[in-house]
Amino acid sequence: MSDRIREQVEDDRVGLGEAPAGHLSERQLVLSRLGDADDRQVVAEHLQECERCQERALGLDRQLEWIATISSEGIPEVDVGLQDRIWQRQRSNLLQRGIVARAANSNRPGPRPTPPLSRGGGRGRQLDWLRRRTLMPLAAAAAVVAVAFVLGWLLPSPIGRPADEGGPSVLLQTVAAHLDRSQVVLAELVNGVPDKSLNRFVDRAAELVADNRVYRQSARLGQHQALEKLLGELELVLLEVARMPPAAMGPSRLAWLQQRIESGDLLFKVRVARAGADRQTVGAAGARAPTGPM
Amino acid sequence: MELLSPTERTAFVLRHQQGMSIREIGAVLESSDNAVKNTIFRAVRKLRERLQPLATEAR
Repeated sequence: MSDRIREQVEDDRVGLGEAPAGHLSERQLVLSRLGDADDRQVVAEHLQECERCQERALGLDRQLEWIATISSEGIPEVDVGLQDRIWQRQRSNLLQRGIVARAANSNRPGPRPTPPLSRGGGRGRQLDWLRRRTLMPLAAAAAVVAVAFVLGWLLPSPIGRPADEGGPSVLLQTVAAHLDRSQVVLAELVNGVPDKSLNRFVDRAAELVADNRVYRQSARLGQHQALEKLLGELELVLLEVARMPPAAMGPSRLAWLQQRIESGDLLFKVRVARAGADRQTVGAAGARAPTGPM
Repeated sequence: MELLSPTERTAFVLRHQQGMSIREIGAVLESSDNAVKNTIFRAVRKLRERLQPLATEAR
C-alpha cells in the first residue's frame, strides 16, 4: 500500500482531531500555532474567549518547541569552519610552493642577480635586475592571487576577518544550491512515472555528479564527515542515473531507483542538510557585521 | 522523526525547516493544499504523541 493511500486510510480511521463540543479541533489548534490555519479569524476569536482552548494552545506551544528542538538534532550540519580550514591548508601549500619556486629560480645556473651599483653594470643591466627584483615577487603574488581567485568561488577569503568568525560563505551557498538542484532531481525521480521524459534525468544527473565530487572532496579536506558521507550517498545514486542508457529508464529501473532513494531516506537527508546550510548561512550572516566580499 | 512516513517527514521539514509555503510543498508532493496541511498535522500529532511521556516527566 502506498504512503498516500495508507495515510488516507489513517485519516479516515483516526480522524483529523475532532473538536470537543464548542471548542477548537486539534487540527485547527495545531495548524493555527504553525501559521497554517484555514480559518485564522475564527480560531483567533475563539482563543480570545475560551480559556480551555487557551490552555490547550499553551501546552501545544510547549510541545512544538520541543519538536522544533528535537527535530533539528542529528541534522548533518554544514560546518562554517570548513572553508577556513580548507583555506588555511591551501594557503600554506601555496606559500610553500612560492618559496620552493623562488628557491629553484635562485639555484638556476647563470649570473645571479646582484645590485647594479656593486656590479657597476650599464642601464640595461640595472633595468634587468630591477625587473627581476620587482617582477618576480609580483609574478609570485599574481600567481597566488590567481589561484586564490579560482579557489574563491569555492572558498571564502579569510582576509580581513577574524579566524573564528563564520560568515556566510560562497561555499556554503554553493553547496546549498547544489543540494537544491539535487533534491529537485531526487524528488522528481521519486514521484516520477516511467515515460520517455525520464531520459532528461540522465544529463542533469551527470552534471550534478561532477559538482558533487568537488563538494565531497572539499568536505573530505575539511574532515566534515557528515557532509562527506551524505554527498557520497548522493553521488552513488546520481551515478546510477547518469550512467543509465536512455532506453534503460523503464518502469522496473525507475522503481529500483525510487526504492533505493527511499530506503536510504536520501531525499530527506538532502532536504535536511539543505535546511541546515540555510540556517548556518542565515545565522552566520546575522552574527557578522556587514563587510564587503573578500 | 523516524516514526514519520517519508511524505510526512518531507512535508514537515519543507514547511518548518525550509520555510516553504503550503502551496510550494503541494507542488513538490503533488498534493492539494488541504492534503499538505493534513500531512503536516499528522506529522505533528505523531511527534506530540511520542513526546507526551517526555513532556510529562519534565514537568
